[in-house]
Amino acid sequence: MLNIVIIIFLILGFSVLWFYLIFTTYNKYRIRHLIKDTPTSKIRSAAIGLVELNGKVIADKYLETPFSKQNCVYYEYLKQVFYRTDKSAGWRTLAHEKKHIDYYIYDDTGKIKVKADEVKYVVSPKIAKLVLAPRFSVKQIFEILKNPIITPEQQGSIENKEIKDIEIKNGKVNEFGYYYPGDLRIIERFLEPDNQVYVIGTLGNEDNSDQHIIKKGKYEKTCFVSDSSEEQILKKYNLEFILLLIVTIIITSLPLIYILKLIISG
Amino acid sequence: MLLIVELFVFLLIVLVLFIFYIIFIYNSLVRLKNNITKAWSNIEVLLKQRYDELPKLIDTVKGYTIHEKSVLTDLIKIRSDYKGAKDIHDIAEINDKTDDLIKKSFLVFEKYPDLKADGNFLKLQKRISEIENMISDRREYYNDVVTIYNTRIEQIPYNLIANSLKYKPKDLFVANDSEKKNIRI
Repeated sequence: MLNIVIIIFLILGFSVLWFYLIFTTYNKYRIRHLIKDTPTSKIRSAAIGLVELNGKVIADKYLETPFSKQNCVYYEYLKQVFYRTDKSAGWRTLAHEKKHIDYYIYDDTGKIKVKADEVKYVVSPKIAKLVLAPRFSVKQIFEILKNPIITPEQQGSIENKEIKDIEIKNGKVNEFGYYYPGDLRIIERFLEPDNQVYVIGTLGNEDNSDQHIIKKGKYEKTCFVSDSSEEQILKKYNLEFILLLIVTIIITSLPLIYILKLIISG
Repeated sequence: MLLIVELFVFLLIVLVLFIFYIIFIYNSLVRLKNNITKAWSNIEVLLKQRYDELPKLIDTVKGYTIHEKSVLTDLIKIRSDYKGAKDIHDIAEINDKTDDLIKKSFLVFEKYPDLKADGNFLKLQKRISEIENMISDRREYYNDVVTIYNTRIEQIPYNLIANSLKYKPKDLFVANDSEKKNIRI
């Protein structure tokens, strides 16, 4: 009786996981093909529906990145502190902030608005800095832990401390290195004016207006902006798909074998 | 017995993956085919808009004394030619002729300072040029979509599903080679 209950729970639990994994893997493959099968349009002649564009970023006004003080239309800021215990070591996030404003994409034929809050951003880190721990007093570290957003005073103190660049290779922050507990890592991703971007999304009319805008479609939800090229994005999706497929096969097969063995053994 | 269980699980997974792959191929082919229909509709809209602008241009120009009357006659004729086009190659050929004719007409009209200063004429000239540029962009886009589709339906394993669905290669938006030689007006 107990065995049956366990089997039913296992089947139910893993079914949800299988469906989720299969759907995610299928979606990755689908988006990869969607990118591959959609030719790039010129902005002036882009038609209503799914479009792929290549252009540069421009806006009427800009945001400022919290750390590097660059003008941008979108930024993602991550501040992490290095920790080490008897069992593990790694980076713990102290602050994570994402911001964007309305902006346009332009090419040599025209410009088009992007609905910034409906777009997913696939942007590589541009700034990765390491603020060495010994430069902070214990009191300062406690202050930072209490309030994860860097205050102007702390910003001043960071500027006077020893700051090292962390290598960014192929759009990824180098994770290797020997860090001390309390070391701070600051990573910024942003889209600055005239940044070359790749866009895929649905071209439609802005709410209550005739103006065209790139947004998430009613049926086709794929909508993202990236500073990588189409080839790089395809490579990324390919890799993610293969990894997900392997994980899906393993996670599907092992519990299934276990459940069937339980059923057979009675 | 245990080996049979593992083999069963393996076959089950292969079957599920296979079913998903077939669904994906089918959906992918349907999407590509619909992309062509959509891309063509987007060209047709612009072609229609351009041929609708031509009578307005002719009316504006008629108010002035133009010595090269044949230009106006050609503009009227090309519009009716478009309406009688049979297939995509015909439309492409007439489109190429129209491009050349419009360029030639604007060069002729430029010689008349009064016409050049006419606000209506300038507006029409700008509008027609904009539509021409958009047609050229969308033509390129259409040919890209058709090339992707034609390549895909010939690739393995897409060709197996494409054949069973009776999907045939589509024509690019280009004039026939023999017709191209006669495009210049």
